[in-house]
Amino acid sequence: MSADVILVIVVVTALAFDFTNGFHDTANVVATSISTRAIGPRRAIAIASVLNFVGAFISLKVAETVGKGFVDTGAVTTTVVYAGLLGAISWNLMTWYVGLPSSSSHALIGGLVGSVIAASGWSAVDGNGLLTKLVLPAVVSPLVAFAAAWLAVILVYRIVRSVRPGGVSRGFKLGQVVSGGLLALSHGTNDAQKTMGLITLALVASGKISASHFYVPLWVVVAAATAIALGTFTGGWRIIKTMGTKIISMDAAQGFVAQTAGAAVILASSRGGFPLSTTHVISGGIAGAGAGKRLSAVRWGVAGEIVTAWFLTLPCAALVGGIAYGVVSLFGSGDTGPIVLSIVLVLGLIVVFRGARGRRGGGARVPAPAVGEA
Amino acid sequence: MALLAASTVGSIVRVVWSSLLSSVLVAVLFAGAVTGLIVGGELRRSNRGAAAAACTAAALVALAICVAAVAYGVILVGQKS
Repeated sequence: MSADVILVIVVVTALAFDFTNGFHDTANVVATSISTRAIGPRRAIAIASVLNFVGAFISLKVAETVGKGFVDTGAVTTTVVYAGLLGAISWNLMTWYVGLPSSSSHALIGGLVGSVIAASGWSAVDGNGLLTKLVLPAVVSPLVAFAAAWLAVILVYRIVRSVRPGGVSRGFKLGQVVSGGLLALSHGTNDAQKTMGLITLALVASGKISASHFYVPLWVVVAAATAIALGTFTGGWRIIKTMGTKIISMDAAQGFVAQTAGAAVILASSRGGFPLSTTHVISGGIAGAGAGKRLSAVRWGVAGEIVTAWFLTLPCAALVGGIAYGVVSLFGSGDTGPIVLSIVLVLGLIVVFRGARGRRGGGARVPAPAVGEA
Repeated sequence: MALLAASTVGSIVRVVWSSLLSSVLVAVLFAGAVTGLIVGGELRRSNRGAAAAACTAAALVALAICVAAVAYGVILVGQKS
C-alpha cells in the first residue's frame, strides 16, 4: 500500500516535470518560425503541441536508456526515484530563480544518479553508461548542430545568391513550416521519453514490471505524450505576449537551416537512445546558422551559458538528488517522506513563483536568443 | 564493459555523421528546389518554355528527394534496431 502511494506520487511528479519541460521548451521549438514570420504564433504553437504528442510515440530507445542505462535497476526503489525527481525539480527551480543556465534533461538524470548513490553507493551507478550515453552526447550534440547549420547556411547562400531575395524568402518561409514541425516532432521523440523512462523505472522498482523484461507500458507513453503536449500548448501563450519585443534577427533561410540541423541531431540521437538537452541542440543550430552568415551576429554568451550548464547541471543535480534522498529517508521507508516533501515542494513552488513575479514585475522569462536581436 | 563503450561510441559517431549529412543534404536540396522554381518562373515569363519546364522539373525532383529523405529519417527513428 505504502509503495503504491509512493508510486502514484512519483508518476504525478514525473508528469508534472514533463509538463514543465514542454512549457519551457515551447520557446525553443517555435521561436525561429515565429520570428521569421513563417507562421503565426497560434498556429505554430498548435502544430508544435500536436507534433510533440505524435513524436512521443515514434521511438522508445531514450526511455530505455533512462530506465536502465545509468543505474542498477536492482538498487532502485520508488523512494530513490522520487528523491531523484525531487532533486531535479529543486535544482531546476534554484537555477531558474537565480538565473543560472541549466538543462532539465541533465538535471533529471543527475538527480536520479545522486539519489541512487546516496541509497546504494557508487557501485549502483554505471559510470561507463553515464559517460558514453549522457556526458559525451551532451558535449557533442550542440557542436554537431552548430557545424551542420554553419556549413548548410554557407552552401544555401551560395545556391540562392543569383535569384530574387523575395522569392527565396517566400520559399524558405514555406519550408520553415515543415522544418519547424520536424523540430517539434523530434523534441517529442527525445524529451517525452525521459519521463517515460523514469516512470518505468519506478514501475520496475515497485515490482509492477520485471527488470529482466523491461518495457514501457502504453499508458506511460500516452500520459507522458499528453503531459508534454499540454505543456507545449500552455507555454506557448506566454510566447505570443513576449515575441513582439524579443525578435531573433534571422532570415527565413537561416531559420530553416537551424531547425533542420536541430531536428536532424535530435532525431539521430533518439534513434541511438541518447537523452539530450534539446535546448542546447536547438541553440547550437541557431548559433551555427548565425555564424554561417556573419560571425559577429552570434551571441557567444549563449554558448558560454551552454558550457556552464554542462559543467554545473549533472554534478549539482546529483548532489541535490543525494540530499533529497537523505531528507526523504529521515521519515523512514514509508510514504510519509514523499507525502510531506511533496507538500513542501508545492508550497516552495508557490513561494518561488510569487517571489519571481515580484522581482520581475510579472514579466515572463524568455530564453536568450543565440543570435543578435533585431 | 569496454565492448559496450566501443559500441556506444560507434553509435555517437553514427549520430554525428548522419545528422551532419542529412542536415546539409536537406538544406542544399531545398535551396536547389527554391532556386529552380524561381528561375523556372522567370524563364516562363521570358517565353523560354522548354528551359522553364526543365528547371521546374529539376526543382520538383530536388523537392521530392528532400521530402523522401525527411520521411526516411523519421521512419528510421521509429524502427526498433
